[in-house]
Amino acid sequence: MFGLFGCRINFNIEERGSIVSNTLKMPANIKKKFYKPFRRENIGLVYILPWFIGFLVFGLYPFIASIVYSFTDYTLLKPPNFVGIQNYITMFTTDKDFYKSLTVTIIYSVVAVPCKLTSALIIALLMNMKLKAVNLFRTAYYIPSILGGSVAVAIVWKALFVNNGVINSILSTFGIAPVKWLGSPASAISIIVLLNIWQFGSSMVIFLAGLKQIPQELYEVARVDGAGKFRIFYKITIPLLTPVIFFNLIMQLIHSLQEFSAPFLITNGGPMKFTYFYGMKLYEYGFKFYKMGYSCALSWFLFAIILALTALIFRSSNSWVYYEDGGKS
Amino acid sequence: MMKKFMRVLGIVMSTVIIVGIMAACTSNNTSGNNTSGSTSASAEKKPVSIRFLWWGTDVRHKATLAVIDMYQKAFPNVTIEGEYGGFDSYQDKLTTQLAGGTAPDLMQLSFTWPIDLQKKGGFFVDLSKYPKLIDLSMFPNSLIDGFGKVGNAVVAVPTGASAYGFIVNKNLLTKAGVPLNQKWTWDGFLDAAKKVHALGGDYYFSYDNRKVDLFQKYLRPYLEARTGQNMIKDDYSLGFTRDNLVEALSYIKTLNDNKAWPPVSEVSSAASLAEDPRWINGKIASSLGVWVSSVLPSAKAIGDAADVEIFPTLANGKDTAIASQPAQDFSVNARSANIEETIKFLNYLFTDEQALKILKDTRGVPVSKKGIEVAEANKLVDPIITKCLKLGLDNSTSIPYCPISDDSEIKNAGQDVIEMMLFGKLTPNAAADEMISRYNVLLREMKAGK
Repeated sequence: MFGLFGCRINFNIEERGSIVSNTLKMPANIKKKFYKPFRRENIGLVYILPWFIGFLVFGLYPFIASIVYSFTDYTLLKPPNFVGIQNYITMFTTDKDFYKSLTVTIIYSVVAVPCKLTSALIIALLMNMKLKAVNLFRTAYYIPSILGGSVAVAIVWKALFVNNGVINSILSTFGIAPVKWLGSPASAISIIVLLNIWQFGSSMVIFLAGLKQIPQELYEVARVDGAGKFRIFYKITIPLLTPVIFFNLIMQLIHSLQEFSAPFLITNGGPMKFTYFYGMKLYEYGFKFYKMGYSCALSWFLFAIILALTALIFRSSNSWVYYEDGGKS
Repeated sequence: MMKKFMRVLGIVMSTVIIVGIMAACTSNNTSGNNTSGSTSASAEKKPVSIRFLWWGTDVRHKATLAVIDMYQKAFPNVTIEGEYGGFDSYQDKLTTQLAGGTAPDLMQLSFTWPIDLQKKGGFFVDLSKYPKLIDLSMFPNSLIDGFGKVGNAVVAVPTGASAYGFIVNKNLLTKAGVPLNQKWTWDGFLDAAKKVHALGGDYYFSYDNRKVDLFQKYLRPYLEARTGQNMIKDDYSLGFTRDNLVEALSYIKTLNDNKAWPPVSEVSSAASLAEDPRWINGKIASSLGVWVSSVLPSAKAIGDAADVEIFPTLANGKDTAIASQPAQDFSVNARSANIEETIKFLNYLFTDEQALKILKDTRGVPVSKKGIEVAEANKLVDPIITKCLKLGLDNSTSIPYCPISDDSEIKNAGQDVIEMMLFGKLTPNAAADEMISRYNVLLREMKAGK
């Protein structure tokens, strides 16, 4: 085989030792010392080095920096001063919008996530049937969730529901007076929930994959035994889907608790802070009020909540998630 | 055979990608490099690159770019990179750049920012240290002292003068029986509101139903007219009593209850007054506190029916509370590698006749001595803007500007309380208490932090 620069490289799997040293025929001790990084077992590390550097710089460093900043009064414009747990105390005592913001975000998650998973499951079941052009439908339903970062989608959503927007125009042709979708607290948050549910595509695709993994024999046997459609669904499909449901639940929960772009672009936290999500609050305190230290403290509290909820779901999973191989893999 | 081909293809593609990335990185480096500016007297003419950041609409962008072109032709060793866009998120972008040390050499700022940012981080050059490059006496003292001076350092110069405009639709007002060119008071405002809404359910006197505008352009001027002081004074104390605040909030509630503006729960999609169909179709009669640079587009949108009136004040108030301020400010980045060249360019914008002719009133009414001359000689400023500014300056407030009242958190707290009141969650009395308690917490923090 010919590799780079025409060197002969021996890819005989039985032969241990590094690729390069084999090629260049160097003495054994030098082989071990200089070409250690290129030993077959280490070469994987070299390949992931670009990602790893990116992770260190853009992932790990900000991660650690933010917890350090949360104990300071960093304003983004001046070097930070250490203030101890002052930020955390302020959060729980004097911050007027803290509990409101937290409540709004949790209500949003509690409503949006089950609704999203339910619609994703229903559509996945439909997509699992042998229909003509099912691939087309599958793509169509998946597209909303990949319309990146949901910024453009949020703006479109706003244009739909604004007072003189598309939805009200359509309603007016039926003689219905314009509805204040974004102006009243209850409907404003419902609109944002709706936007989240509309982007069920990624969950749907995962459900679909889970459905396809269910062995057909189980269905056949059940039908032969005379089980009705609903029985089959409750006793076979759902239990075998529980790992997928578990996965989707965790992913969607984590994602929805961090929601920012939709409320920021559509309602800007209003009316009366009924859509003032925690993510938005983080952003405002960090970038609008120059209270980056406080913002870091807020984000670490969110991290703690997400961690707690995730741990809770994991703990409970023993009782309701059924793995075919008994959960060993 | 196929395997070999694929491998060769893979090698070629990876080489192309690597070379491409390296080329991109290198070109970024050379274009981003600021070689040091030429020193004062000698004709060294080293190539200099200046970054100039501003916001605006197309009119302003075109004019500014034309002036940049002119300057580059006159001084071929200087390259000026214009970075421009809309106002949305401009502040976020700018503060992030300032924090990260990547801010441009010359920046346009809103008049509320220079003092605040300078105190928070010392980001700007003291222009009074370069008397040979820029003569600060060409600007009116009031616009520098109040808005661009920290201690003895002058950190910002006004791009132009502005005053909050009260733009009206003459035809609609006459139809409703509201006298024009009156000496507007807040009582008269309420009167006019009732008359206009009496024309029909979708007729409103004012466009302003957003909490941001209601706080800044209704509550604050009312309060300041009543008390004759800044809403927040420079010693971080409140410039009003609880009774004052209850009076002001009750007034706003009364306006709201009399349908002076569209319901607060109605969120409009129009980006600005000039683009709102209700304004264009003559269903809305006025807007308060329109920025001078938006007066023209809003006026053009309704043509001859547009006019400006004097900003309302209190008949028996202690002060008119009609503010005039810099339209925008220009500041020079203290960390710039080309401070002197940047100041030279800044000076050019205010003293070169051709440049002034091109820039016209895109940044408010010209205020530098030369700017005023050129504007008058060439009739560069639209008469409606001149009227707007004249009304503001002739009845100007005597309260010196205090930037604390424009702090984001202060404004936010005030806006939120007004919103709660107008949605019916708080009575004016309760709202006043809520606002005062929030301000006390914020001001205590701010005082401790400074």
